[in-house]
Amino acid sequence: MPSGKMLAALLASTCLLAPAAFAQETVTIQFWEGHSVQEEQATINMIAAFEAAHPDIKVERVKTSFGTNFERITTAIASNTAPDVSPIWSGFLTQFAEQGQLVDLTQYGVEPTNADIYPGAFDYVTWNDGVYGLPYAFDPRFIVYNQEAFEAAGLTEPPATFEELIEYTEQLTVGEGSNIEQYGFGLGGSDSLAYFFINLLYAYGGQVFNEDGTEAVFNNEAGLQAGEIISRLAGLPGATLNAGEGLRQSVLHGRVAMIYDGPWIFYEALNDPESEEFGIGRVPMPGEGDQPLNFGSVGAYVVYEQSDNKEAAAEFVKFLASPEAQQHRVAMLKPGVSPGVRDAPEAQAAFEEWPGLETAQNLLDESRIFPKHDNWPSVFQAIIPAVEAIIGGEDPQSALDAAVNQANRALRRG
Amino acid sequence: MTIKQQQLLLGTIFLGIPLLWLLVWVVTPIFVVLYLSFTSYDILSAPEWVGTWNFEDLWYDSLYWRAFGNTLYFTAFAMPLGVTLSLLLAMLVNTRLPGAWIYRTIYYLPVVSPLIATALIWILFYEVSTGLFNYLLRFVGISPLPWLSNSATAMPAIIAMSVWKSLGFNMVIFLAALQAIPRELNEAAALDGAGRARQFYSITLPLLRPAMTYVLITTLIGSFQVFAQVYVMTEGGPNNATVTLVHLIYRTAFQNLDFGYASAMAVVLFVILVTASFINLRLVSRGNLYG
Repeated sequence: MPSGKMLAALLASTCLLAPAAFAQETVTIQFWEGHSVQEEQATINMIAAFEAAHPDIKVERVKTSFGTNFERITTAIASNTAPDVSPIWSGFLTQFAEQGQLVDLTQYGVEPTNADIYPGAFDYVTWNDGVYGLPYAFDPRFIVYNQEAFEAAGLTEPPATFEELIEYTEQLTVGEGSNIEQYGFGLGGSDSLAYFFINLLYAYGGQVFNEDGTEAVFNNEAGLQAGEIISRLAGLPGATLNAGEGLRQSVLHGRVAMIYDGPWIFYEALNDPESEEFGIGRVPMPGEGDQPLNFGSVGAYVVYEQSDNKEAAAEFVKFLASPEAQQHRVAMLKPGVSPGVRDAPEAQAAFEEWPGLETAQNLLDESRIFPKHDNWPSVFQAIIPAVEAIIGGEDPQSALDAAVNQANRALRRG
Repeated sequence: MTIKQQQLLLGTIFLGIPLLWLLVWVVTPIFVVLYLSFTSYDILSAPEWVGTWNFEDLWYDSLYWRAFGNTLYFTAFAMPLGVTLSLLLAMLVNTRLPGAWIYRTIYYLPVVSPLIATALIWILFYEVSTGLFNYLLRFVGISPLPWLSNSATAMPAIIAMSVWKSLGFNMVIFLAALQAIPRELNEAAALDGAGRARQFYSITLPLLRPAMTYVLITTLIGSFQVFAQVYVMTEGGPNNATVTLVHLIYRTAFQNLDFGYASAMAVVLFVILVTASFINLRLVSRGNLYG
């Protein structure tokens, strides 16, 4: 081929290939999630919205079991096969951040003080001046009550103080001995017990850890007061504490008049056309006029240091915490982590249909999370049996002292 | 290649594969766990040698001793109950009753049902207001019990479920052993005037000894390793009444990320099981079959 023709052919092929070479490469990020059916649907909608807004980033969603999520994550980190993004709960965020496994998102434009997210939830993701994730869930606890049961007992409002909680429990109980037709108050088992105790502990002004986090101190005065309230409730025949599954169904059908629960009640009611009318109210406080305080559990999405696509992953996590994405969560009847979600169209439609959901959303302004501590899982495990022991009739002081000893033992191990 | 060489090659392949599997997946992990038990290891960073600290700490850990006590409690009831009932069942289905094979299938069904699914169904059975057991209690005028949320009833509830689940497996072992006993022995004893009880104690039971040894050792090991039903049904509660050794090992490793300490617990469990199995083997298989 003569050199002139060769040059022309080369030029032509270069011109043809140039647009492809300059086009932005699509990045695929792997996202492990272990959400419930309700949250899964919200997540799918969020991913669709994200991919529409970011055509250069594809999200590969991998479903993992909720229960075994952390086993998978920890073993994946150990074997260098961690995903780009995953949800994280409890003390694992601080533990992973401490070990340098999580990306500090401040390098990708996340401000260390983020006004777009409720302070209670944002506090969870900050650690040593860094931001190691962004919250996606902030579920406040509140009192759910059956309106018919309240009306029958001549009550109009949920209890405002702990004394009222005890009084109302007695008032709302129908039947006696082994034939109780309606329990006055119900509380779930395991995690719910510990959250209820922490809620009461906070309400009495107490803390789980001392100032520098080196010791567990929840057997202090506030802890004892919280324990006493639980003990008094446990002594009532009309209080069903440490109840198993089905507590939400029970309140929706009047078998229990009120329960300590969270936003899961809305989805339960949605799927049960036979459910009765219910209302929600803030968790009682020690005295009338006390500053309201609700416990809220939080979950965050994090980006792993092992990720090859940190920037795209950070972009995805930022989007998931935005009001634009969070409105899909509200549409699936869970509150959003961003106060700005109140103005989003899908959220407004959900609030209109479910006024209680808007109340739950507003409770997030006054909600506080569990303590941020890298040994929180082992301390949490010490609190649960202590509350179970109190419910079983053990003296609160000895139950809490034993739990604090167990917790401090775990803290000493580090 | 000569026939002898071919035989050697085939032997090496057929024996080599399972041996290699055993070496990689059983023997090596035992040594890895042994090494980790002398370290502080959180899986996210490299293990750090701490000598015997984990074992010393174990000695003063009240939760560990609680788990140990609960495991013994489980074993003390689940093992004799399971072995006795499965032997009785095996003897029942060994009779020449019409349709005996149907019973064999029914009793074996729980064995092949997934443990997690079975445990979830038993949670429904134990439910306070709508559960089957409380329905039966109410039927005879007894107040319902919070089976799984009461410290006194939670462990018996798990034992009952576990015994039911494993009954069929041991029954099949006993059944095979019973069918291998020559009928002439019982016939000769009957001719000599031995009653049914005498035949059972002097002929059946001694001839069942190899099967009994196997059942006792596997049941003992299984009882000490009880985990899934505790994990699903009670999570170790209420008030640690059902926390068992393997459940505590799991919690320590995967929830507290204290793999070194969990490994120390696993090593102690390993030593206990080897010792108990050895004692069991010596006691049960002592002497000849005919006493």
